[in-house]
Amino acid sequence: MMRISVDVNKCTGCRTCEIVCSMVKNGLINRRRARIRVYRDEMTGLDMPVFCIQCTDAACMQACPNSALSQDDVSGIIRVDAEACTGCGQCADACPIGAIVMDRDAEVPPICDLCGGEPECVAWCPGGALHLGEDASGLDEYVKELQGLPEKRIDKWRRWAEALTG
Amino acid sequence: MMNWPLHCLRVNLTHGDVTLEEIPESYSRMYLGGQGFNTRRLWESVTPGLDALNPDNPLIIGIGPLSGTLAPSSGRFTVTAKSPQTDIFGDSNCGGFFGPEMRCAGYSQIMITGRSEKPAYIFIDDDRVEIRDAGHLWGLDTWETQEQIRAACGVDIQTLCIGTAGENLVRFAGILSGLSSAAGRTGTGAVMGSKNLKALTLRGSRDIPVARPDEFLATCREVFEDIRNGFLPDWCTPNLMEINAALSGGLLTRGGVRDAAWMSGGSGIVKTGGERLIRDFMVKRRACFNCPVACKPVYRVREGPYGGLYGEGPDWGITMIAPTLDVRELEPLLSMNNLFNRYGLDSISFIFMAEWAFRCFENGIISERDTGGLQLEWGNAEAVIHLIRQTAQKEGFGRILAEGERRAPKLLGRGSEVYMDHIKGMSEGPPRIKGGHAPGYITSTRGADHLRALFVPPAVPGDLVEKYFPDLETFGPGTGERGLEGWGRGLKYFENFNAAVNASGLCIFPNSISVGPRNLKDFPEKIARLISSLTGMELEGSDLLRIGERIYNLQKAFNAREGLTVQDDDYSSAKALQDLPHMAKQYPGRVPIDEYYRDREALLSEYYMARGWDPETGLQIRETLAELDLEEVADELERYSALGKRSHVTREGG
Repeated sequence: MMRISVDVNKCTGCRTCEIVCSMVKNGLINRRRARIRVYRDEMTGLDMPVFCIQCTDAACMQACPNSALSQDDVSGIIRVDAEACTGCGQCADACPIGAIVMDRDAEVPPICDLCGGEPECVAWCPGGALHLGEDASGLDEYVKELQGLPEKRIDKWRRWAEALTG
Repeated sequence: MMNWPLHCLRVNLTHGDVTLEEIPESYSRMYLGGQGFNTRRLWESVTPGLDALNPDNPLIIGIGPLSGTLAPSSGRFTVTAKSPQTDIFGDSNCGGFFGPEMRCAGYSQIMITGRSEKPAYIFIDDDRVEIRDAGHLWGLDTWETQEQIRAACGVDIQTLCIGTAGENLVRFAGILSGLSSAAGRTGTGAVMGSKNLKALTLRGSRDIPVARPDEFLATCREVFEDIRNGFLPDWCTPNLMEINAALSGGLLTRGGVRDAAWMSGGSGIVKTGGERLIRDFMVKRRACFNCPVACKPVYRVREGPYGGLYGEGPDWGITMIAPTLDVRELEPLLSMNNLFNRYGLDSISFIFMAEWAFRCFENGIISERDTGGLQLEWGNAEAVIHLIRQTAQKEGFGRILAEGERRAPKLLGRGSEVYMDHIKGMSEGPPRIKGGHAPGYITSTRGADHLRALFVPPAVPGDLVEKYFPDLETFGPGTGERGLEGWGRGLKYFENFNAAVNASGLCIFPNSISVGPRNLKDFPEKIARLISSLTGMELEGSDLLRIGERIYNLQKAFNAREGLTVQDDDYSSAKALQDLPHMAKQYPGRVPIDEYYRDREALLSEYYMARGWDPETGLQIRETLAELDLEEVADELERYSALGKRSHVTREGG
């Protein structure tokens, strides 16, 4: 199964991935609508892209009260049935790494579909930090870093950054 | 409907008023945005002779139509005010993430006037604008201030703020954003401090619509590839040490350097240059918004007296400390970089102010009695660090340095003026790169500065030209010529182009044709295409250059209205320049400034003629201004007797 992965040491925090995502998916520019988000801590130098990793038995899918989410057997991509989705946001709450952020102006949650197999964020990433591949070896570590509530995450990243730079 | 919001947010801190004003639509075609809008605004707002620290001096923050978009390196914004350092037109361009956030908040310009009674900061969340108490922030450095504001307002905000230097009205204080993004030059931080304004924080969530998405996306990709294929992405800004050494033919040092051959040759560069920084101290590279270059190294010093030091992005200024003050170790330079960022102090002006102090010390004009025991001897890094602290805090001899290039030598007296070499009140030392780069410092509208012209190609050694500037001979009039011949036209071309790039919201470092990618001659056209496909406002490359020319002329007019004459297009002290014994001995006939002095009058009149100005007085003439739709500017200049005579030369196109 193809997944996006990140070499965090190569991420420059430039946010190009967010911008190109909103451009390609929404035809406009607004990083707050992107399917990939970079959490950038100005003061510690930590830059952490957050994106859907197509979990097995995805929590978002299970949390949906209207069975609007389904997962492709082969690609693992989460699909949203726009008819069934009520935009309640329970999928976003359930995502263990915070990869779904509800778009206040859209009716359905923005969930990464890997751009049909050739993700634009990977193609544009100037630092060469984002990759697409089958290697899942870094996945556990990535998930571990991102787990927890969003407001607590920043403390985790700070510790992580200190470990990185110290 | 044009996708470029012409909204100016006006905040009057004296009365606590917040108003939204529409910028005339015609201005977008005439001035584009950013530096252009700001120049126009300052021209309209300032009465000549106004004290720059008077509450009436506006602090203007402007972004361009490409700011915050997919256009590569579009994180820039411009801060403009009359300069308390130079008393003329002042502005400084800054990167980071504030500009893009401002774009999403829906403003193209923010103008702050008046003076708050108590320390304040401004908080903006889209339409919501609040002036808040900053009593608890006053006295904090720029890093601490931003931490506090993030704790109070959330992590998803961007902040501009001043440090100790701005609070203390140091005349070359800058404005900081993040760890190291700075609007460093011309003392905008002192203007902010004079308003009792500690910070400006904002969050923006609006969409940026795109007029022709497919064309915009494709053009962004094209420019993105151009930049990636240029030579910049391999390098960080500290590599300017190596680049300068190559472009100047080994000529890096100033008079105080005891062993110029060591410093300019391999050893000094190996010890203090960018490659060493990358190898020994860099943790990772960091970028401003949507920039494929990522010129800022994040560094960590692990051991030794500077162990634990952590910071980001040493830039142009830091690369000048070693060859100017003879500091021979890299770690103290990184420590100084942090101090400049945390105090909010312009590194470039500080370095040459410090050099002036060192020269005065060397020549017995000042002694330990004046410096409070500091030994201002070449290479004394500790003394430099003390001097930075004293300047930001206005203590000891720092009290004098804090007054800047124009005022400090007068304050000290004792004939110290001859050791200060500024242009129009700002210093950058004589340029170390040959060719048109040198005179570009003199014609700059904000004082000595490499970024107005950035006229590098004629100085690039032959083998590099072939690699990086294959079209050099063909893309602009005069720009391909080696040496100084034809430089007037070339200089004009680069000044105009850079002004337009600054107005667009792009960064001139990767996007300027003077340092940028291959196929440079197509660049004005490509940037015009970016703007057209994004905003729906149709522009061509030639329109862009004309906009740049108009902006430059308006800055020139601002300075002429303040009383500047042809005498100001020069270094303040020729003696300071010629007093470079090491250089002259070591590099006979190769000092760029020698070329400049030999031919100064001819060179300047060539430039004035290329610009369509009076070749004798250097003043603008009515016909040229009228051609640029600036007839009313000519009227104004006439009222101040600052209009030139009709010249026999007409303005050349391009």
